Amino acid sequence: MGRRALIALLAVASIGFTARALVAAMPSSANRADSPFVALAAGHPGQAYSDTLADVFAGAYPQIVPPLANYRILSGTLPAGLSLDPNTGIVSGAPVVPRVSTVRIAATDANGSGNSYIVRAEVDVVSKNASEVVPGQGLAFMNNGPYSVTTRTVSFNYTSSYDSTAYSTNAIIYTPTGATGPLPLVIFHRGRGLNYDDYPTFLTHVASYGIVAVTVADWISFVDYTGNGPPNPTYDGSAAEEGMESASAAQEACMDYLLGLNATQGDPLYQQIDVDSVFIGGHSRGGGATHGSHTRSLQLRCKGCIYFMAFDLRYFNETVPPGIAPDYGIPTLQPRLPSLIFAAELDGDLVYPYANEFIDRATGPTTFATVYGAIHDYLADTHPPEATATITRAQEQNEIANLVVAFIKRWSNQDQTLDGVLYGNELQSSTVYGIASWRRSSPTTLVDDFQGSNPGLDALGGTKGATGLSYVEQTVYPPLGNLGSLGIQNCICSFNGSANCELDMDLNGARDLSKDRALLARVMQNGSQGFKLNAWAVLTDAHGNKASVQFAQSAGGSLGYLPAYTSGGDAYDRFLTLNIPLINFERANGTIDLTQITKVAFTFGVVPNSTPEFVLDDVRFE
Amino acid sequence: MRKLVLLSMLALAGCSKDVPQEAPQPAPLQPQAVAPAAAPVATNTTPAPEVLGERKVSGEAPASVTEPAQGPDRSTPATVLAALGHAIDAGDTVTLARLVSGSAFKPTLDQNDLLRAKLDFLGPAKAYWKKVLAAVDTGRLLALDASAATQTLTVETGGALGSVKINFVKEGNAWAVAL
Repeated sequence: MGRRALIALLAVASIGFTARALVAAMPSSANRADSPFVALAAGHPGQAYSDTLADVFAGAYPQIVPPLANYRILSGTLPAGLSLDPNTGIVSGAPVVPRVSTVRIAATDANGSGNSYIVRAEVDVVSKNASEVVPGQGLAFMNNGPYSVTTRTVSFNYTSSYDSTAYSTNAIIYTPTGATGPLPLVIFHRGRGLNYDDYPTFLTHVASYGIVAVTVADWISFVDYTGNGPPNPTYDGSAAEEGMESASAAQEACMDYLLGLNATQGDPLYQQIDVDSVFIGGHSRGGGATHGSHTRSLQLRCKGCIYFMAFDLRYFNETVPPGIAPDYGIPTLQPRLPSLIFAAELDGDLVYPYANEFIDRATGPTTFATVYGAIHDYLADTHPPEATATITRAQEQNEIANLVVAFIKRWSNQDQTLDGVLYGNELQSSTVYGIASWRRSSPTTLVDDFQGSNPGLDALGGTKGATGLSYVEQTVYPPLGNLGSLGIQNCICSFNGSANCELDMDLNGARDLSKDRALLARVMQNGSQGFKLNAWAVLTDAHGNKASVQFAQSAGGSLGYLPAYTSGGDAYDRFLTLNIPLINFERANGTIDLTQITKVAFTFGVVPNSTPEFVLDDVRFE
Repeated sequence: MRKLVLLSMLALAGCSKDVPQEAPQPAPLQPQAVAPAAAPVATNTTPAPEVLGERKVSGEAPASVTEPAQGPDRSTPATVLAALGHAIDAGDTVTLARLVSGSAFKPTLDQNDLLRAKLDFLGPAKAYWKKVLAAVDTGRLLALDASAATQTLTVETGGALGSVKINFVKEGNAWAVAL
């Protein structure tokens, strides 16, 4: 239990609130969704599935004293083939067909209080051939959508849940005209040094797809130039992490204000917002605020978080439990909420690596998008560029809005057709985005995440070895601030230049991968010229058969798995997801026996020793 | 205490003595009636080349590095930062390794030290250091006490970062940047 949770529990115990009294004392949050949302592990038809809800309830309701009992489904149905154990809260079985299922699940405190708690959960079943995915949607929302957009500026007062201080602020609401509710809502927080009204083109783009987008001013957490400040000097200056936590509270207050309008007869937003589909996002330090809101997402009951070139709060010693008072409690792992994270390749403000480590330690469905040629401040309309972009401001805004719309549509409509964009291989060779996605899947066979203390062993207990190359397991990121405490290790391969070379991982016995869809890994090449090498993934079966698929070539031209190497183009030196369907190994060698795979290897042609390192992480089958 | 109370209230707001009424739910989505997305076909059928040589569990031991006779000037934090800037511009990983605490004071450097220097200061990290070094206030830098064991320089970078701190450590008479 984190300190924040413990403090909350003690407060409850000492004050003696009842649940009924609490709801009455907090009318604003009474308009939120009735329960927190969590994305359970994805499943595949015909494959064993298991996930547990106990940790979700514990995270959502810190006052719970385990164990819970009488887990039950209040509404919705689990995918056929899955069932919920009423005693343990474990969802298990083997799903039958691809589908999205949303359920509301309750559990009762078994310690005598008799209190019941609820969570909303989604279970996605994804087919082996991704038949539920509609291909060709990677850039479907690049231009403005079908709705015209009106704006309204509102003012409201709130008491910050962070520092308990009363503030006044403004917000601008971008509303799609003619869209019939209930509509998804996204709460956006500006960056430091930017104004809340600096983002009209981007927010109009998002709203034009039937999404209510709101930008909150929050003049207290860090500086802007509207003249409504000044900000709290500590929050803005010596303790930036406090400012971002304060801004998270402003996001929360804005969300509650909007949900209040949604419940107010006569307001234009009355009953227009889908309270089950609220998203929180922010730019730069506003993205740090979003990190704080992600941590509190189970309490806020939002559906997803969107980070725009964001500050990672784990940079600060003060935010890591036990940290320095006041307590922040930003955990290494995030709650299992869908998230979309943007990094600008040429960011000259927040700069690498602050926005690049969010993909590590992700637990919910996560899409990390590096926008090639983009810079930090082009998300806003008029803010001067802080670096030299290789795309225009309009391009950058469109490219970011494209994925934002896809993400919000995916999770507000349970629209699996967009999974190829966010979690599949739709954009894997894109020259617009570098996509690294993480979607925890119940049947995953993790070969290695390179976090072990023995670099000679993989996660399956098999040996790991190199022929003709060197590898180390350490972070590829500079250990700035407190980020080193995350303990991230990647596998960094260096080339010796004399012959073909290979990194291999023994699977510690024959593995049946016949029901899996793909070999997945995160990869990058630490250099300025992209994937300049000839590289193959090679599977070996128990009979000694080998099947190889080439995924990069130094001569240029994409093989469909990674962006093409170009001598003067983008660097591609950020993590991407390599996604090789297993059927392609069968096509390469029809004798390969996927029911008895014993080894996976990454093989490279002759690579000069001046060639930048090749970096691997999270090698897995699923 | 008010903050704690609010946190508690937030945490409890979804709690009820009574099982909530089941709200009407939309019908579960059915599988999409769309054509299966074809898995990408391998566009290159060239098999992986044969790999010869000795397989080494845990990989090769890092080779040692031959250093120039004259190392960087590490007599003060200011000289360290000056050398750091030059080494970043030159892509000189040997000098960079001698300026950062993890490897600065080792008797001999190896290839892993150079790799670490490359990851920490070059490639995508180069933009960070260029930005920070460009914002260093020379007056503050020169005012650091070179007789102390550690020193910290606050650099006002502006923008989202606001400011960053560069920590220095000393061993013997030599300074290095602490990461």
